Amino acid sequence: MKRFLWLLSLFIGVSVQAQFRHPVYNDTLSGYSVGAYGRYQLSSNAISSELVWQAYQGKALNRKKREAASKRLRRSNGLGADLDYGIYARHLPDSSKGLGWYLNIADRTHANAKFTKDLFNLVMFGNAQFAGTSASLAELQFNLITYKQFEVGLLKPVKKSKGKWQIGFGLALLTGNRNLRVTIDTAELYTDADGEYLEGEIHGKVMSSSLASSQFIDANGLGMSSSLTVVYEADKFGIRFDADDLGFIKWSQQLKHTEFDSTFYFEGIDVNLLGTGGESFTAINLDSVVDRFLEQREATSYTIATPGRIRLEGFYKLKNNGLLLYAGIQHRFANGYVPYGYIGTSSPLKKGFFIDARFAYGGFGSWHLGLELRKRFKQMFEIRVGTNNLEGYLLPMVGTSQSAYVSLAGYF
Amino acid sequence: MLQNRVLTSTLRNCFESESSHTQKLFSYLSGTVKTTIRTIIISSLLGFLLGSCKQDIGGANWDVDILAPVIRTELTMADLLADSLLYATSDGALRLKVERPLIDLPLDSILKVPDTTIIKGVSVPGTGTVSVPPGFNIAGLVEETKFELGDAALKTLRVRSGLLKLAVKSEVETEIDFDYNIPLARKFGIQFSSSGTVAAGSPSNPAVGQFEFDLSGYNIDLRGTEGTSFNTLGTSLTVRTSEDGDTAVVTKGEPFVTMEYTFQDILPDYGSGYFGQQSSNVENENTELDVLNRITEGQMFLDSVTIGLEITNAVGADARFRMDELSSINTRNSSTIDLNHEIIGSNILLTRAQNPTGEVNGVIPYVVNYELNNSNSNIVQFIENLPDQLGFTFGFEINPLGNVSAGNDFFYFDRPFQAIMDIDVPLRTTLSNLTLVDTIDWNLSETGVVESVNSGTFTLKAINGFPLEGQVELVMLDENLVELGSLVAPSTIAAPQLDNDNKVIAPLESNLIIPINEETANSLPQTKKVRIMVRFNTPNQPQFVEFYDTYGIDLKLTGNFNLNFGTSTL
Repeated sequence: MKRFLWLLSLFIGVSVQAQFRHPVYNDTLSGYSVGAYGRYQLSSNAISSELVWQAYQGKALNRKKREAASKRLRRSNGLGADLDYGIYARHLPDSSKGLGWYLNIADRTHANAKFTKDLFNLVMFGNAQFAGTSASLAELQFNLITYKQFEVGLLKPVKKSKGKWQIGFGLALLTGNRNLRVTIDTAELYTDADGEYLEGEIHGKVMSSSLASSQFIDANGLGMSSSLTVVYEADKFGIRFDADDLGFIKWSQQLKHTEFDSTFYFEGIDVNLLGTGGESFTAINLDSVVDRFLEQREATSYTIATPGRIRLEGFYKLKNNGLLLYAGIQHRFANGYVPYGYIGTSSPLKKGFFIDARFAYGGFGSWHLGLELRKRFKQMFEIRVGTNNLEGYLLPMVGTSQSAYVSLAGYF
Repeated sequence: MLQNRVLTSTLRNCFESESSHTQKLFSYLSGTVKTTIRTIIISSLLGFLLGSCKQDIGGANWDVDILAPVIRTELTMADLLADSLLYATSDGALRLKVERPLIDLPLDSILKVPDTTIIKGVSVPGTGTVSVPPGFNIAGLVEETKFELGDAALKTLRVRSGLLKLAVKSEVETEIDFDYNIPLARKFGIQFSSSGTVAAGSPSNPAVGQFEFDLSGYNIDLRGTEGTSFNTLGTSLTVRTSEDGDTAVVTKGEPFVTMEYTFQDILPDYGSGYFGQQSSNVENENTELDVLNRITEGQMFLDSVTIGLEITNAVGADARFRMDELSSINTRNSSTIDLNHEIIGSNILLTRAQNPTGEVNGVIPYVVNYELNNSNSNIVQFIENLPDQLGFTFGFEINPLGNVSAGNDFFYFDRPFQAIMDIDVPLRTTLSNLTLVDTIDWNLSETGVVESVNSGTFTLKAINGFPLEGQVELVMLDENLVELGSLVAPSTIAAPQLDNDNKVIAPLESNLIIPINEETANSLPQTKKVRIMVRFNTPNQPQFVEFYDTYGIDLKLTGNFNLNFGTSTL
């Protein structure tokens, strides 16, 4: 019940503005407005929502579902998650003469991973399947970042005879709360056919900042990001280019740095069964087996890029009442992310409702079905609820992504 | 933020807390690679889930098939019989060589210095009273103490350890100082001197001071102040008023100070004189022989056995020794075999040791050697009994002919009377169901991993280079040594092929599949100890088989298990 209430509160308490778009740039109504938004997204190209749900409920993970996930894996795979929420205020002039502005404050959590099929299979099914072969675990990337974003920006509408332009630019101060960055460049595990030995190597590092911290306002790193939007809209069609969250954070507080740099050959623990002149079972010390692979290094400041997006989108108005068709492509600067292409349609309904449906492929996942409902209360208030991954709820056995977003906006 | 908390908590557990045993065992099974992988994947999958209930996520689990080496060991004869007991001849043939002190008579068993307490009163001669100002002597006392040492007459004694305890009781109405000296006790050329202070007392309420001095290392001349006595310790005592005290009035003729001095726990390091005629008899004494004590049953037939018996008298006094009985005792099967040899029941006269240099290292002991072998004794049967104890009865006399050295006996603590047994057994033998049993602690149940075993098999791969067929059995025991079941049912490791000289041609590989069924898996968490039982047989019996230093057996235990694995085991 708690989880349900929490989930419900996510939908009604905070809101997301239009799937993956910048919350301010997406709204083209002129005047003053304030808004709040929130969203979550969990996406992979193989792991079904049903499997994720089983894990979430603390259940035994069904082998068939794991096998199904394994079949969907590519050689290299992606996994991504986001949890963002924030508030904003803005002013957009209704003529080309004015200059608009906006303020946006957000809390962002992002994680992404890139991993091999062998890695998933090793964890989910054990190493016995690799008897006589090597499991390739290399090129593993994992990044977790939480930070606050304090953004200010300018908005400029430009009207021309054949269409209108809208240009926006923002600059944000970022205060980083936590970061974990795992980079495994080389990792391989060979399992002898009879299990008589394991052989492998691992080279990589783990860097972190303030994983132990639970303070909401901790600033263990500082950085900047920028955003940009350029929209051209004609009578029948339009095109827009958006970029947001492009920046960096330099982590300098509460740092840890651990390196893996080892090759190993393990034939079992040496014991003396009869206990004469050697160690017996009681002397089995597994610490030494693990600890020799790890080496703590002196941690120094390091900089990471924020998981920014760039997007190009075009749309075509099928009717003058607002029915339109749109398509676009997006890329995100995060490991495991593949270009995300989408096509959709948006249409007004009766009584101030709008509906938006789309199909997409790529990102951290594979295929996606999006659906959004929007209700505008005159020109005063708007609520928007949607998901980019309807399949995660309707077809959890095959859908490999989940997401939801909600936003509220008030106009003055 | 709830998500953040779950996620970071999970990650913190993985990266910043100390690793649990479980984590490490899993790591051991599949290496650190998996540890990293597990952390990342689990964090990625579970950390970002919608919920806030860590307990639920923590319960997520799944089964994995693990194939990994568990333990390995190499057994040689040195492992079976202890490395220090074996040596190889030039051709690599192994011999079991055990040297054990059979009888060891330290000096204090020959000559004991009893604890001695002497009480003396100190008085001023005459009648009336005398006033003694501060810092003046009141009285002195020179004494000779004779130790009761029977018919022994010691002239000198070096103390290895021991104490002098003084209890000084004073009736003087001011603080007194005393000096207590043993003029003929010297350490590094300096005589023993002690002093102390006793508070003011009175006849009705005397003051008592307790003092303790270490006598270790002192050489004591026991010939008295005249140098003609024996067992005699000369001492002197001086009592005076303290310089910081008052003038004291002492009644003449009456003890005003009582000295009680005790020589306690005196252990001689060296002594000379005449030790007297002493004898001791030891009956039915047993000594442990731990070489073969893991053998519980079966038979070992030996080609030959030689035991050297070396009797050493390093004491400067004549002695007579008589071994009345020497027994091979096997307590596992209650079998006892008495040694038959001419030494049994015979008196052996041991001439006194010589010490021309007067130093402990210069002692020339008197040594008698006997060899017990197949032809002059039943020593083969004696050893084939697989004794875990040796029993003996013997008598020992010192100076059986009286004081023939004119009081020039000597002893050193480090050079006692000894009888040493030197067993030499060529490992040319035939084994018939020789059973070796050992119980070892099993701590894997503490890791928590064994509880997650669903099913699987152990595979024991044995590369046998011993000329032996072995039958192995492993039994699970709880902490009270109650059997929980068989981990490894009796399984045979085949013997390799032998050539015409009964030498191993090449090691033979055997693979024992040890299935872990549900019952065994359920017993594993309760298992605290494992009893290993190995039954050996030599092939081609009854021919003897020679054991060489190159022989051995490699054992590798691999596990192929379906384990329940999950975030709860992280």
